[in-house]
Amino acid sequence: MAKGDNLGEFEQLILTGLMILHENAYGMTIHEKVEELVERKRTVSLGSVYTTLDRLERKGYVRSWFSDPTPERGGRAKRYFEITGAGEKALKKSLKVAANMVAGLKEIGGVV
Amino acid sequence: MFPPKFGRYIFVLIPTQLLLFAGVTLLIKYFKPISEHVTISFAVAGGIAAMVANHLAHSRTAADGRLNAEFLLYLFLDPTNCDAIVGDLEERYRKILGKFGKHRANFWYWTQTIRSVWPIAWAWAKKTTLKPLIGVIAWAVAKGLLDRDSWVAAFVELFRRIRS
Repeated sequence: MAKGDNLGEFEQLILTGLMILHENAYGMTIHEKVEELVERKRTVSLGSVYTTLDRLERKGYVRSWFSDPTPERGGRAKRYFEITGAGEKALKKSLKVAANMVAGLKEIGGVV
Repeated sequence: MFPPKFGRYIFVLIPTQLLLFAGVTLLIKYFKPISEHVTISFAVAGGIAAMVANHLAHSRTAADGRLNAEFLLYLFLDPTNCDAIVGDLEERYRKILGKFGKHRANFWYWTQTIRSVWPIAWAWAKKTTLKPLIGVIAWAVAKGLLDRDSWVAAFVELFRRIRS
């Protein structure tokens, strides 16, 4: 696995959020979902969500498009995001590593 | 011509308070012989009106505050992306406003904006300045390795050029 394929913790959170939200994944809902996933124990800014999404899009793990402007957003468009096949694959790889870690710790009666 | 907040203070708040002050002064001057109680009532009414004007002016500046936050984001983002972020902030702001009230919503809006500006500004800086900077350093190292006795000499030369 090349170094660039590795996902950071925040990238994993965002991709998980995208998979859960599916069709309704845009800035605000992703931000809310990530806050929910970290159980509001960590402060998450909307700016960091967007910069991470941009990075993931450059890597080819995410694609985005703009919707029509809506009045409840002051006439501004939503930027929708969707996970790509490569993104799903990268997330699965990362989760597998995490699952291996959990299994390893369980074997020795560790913290998990 | 003026920034929105400044214009509001100059053309709305200050004239309103001056008018109220002038009105109360005239009332005290001309109605004092009739009854002192009446003039006191007018003064109290004037004071209340000034407070209301103040409150209205401040409730308007909260919206301006959000405009300033928007401006901060527009500094580092292209208009389409910025519109999406500001739209998200606006949508959640309205949600919080409905649930918890204006003060909490404004507080949330500002903390989110300030927290959001840092990663956005850093990404912008990386995109616009970091690559040329790495290029210059690489050039200096390469020049030092090829042309000079050592790459340190190239850095010294570069430093000299920057200083001069």
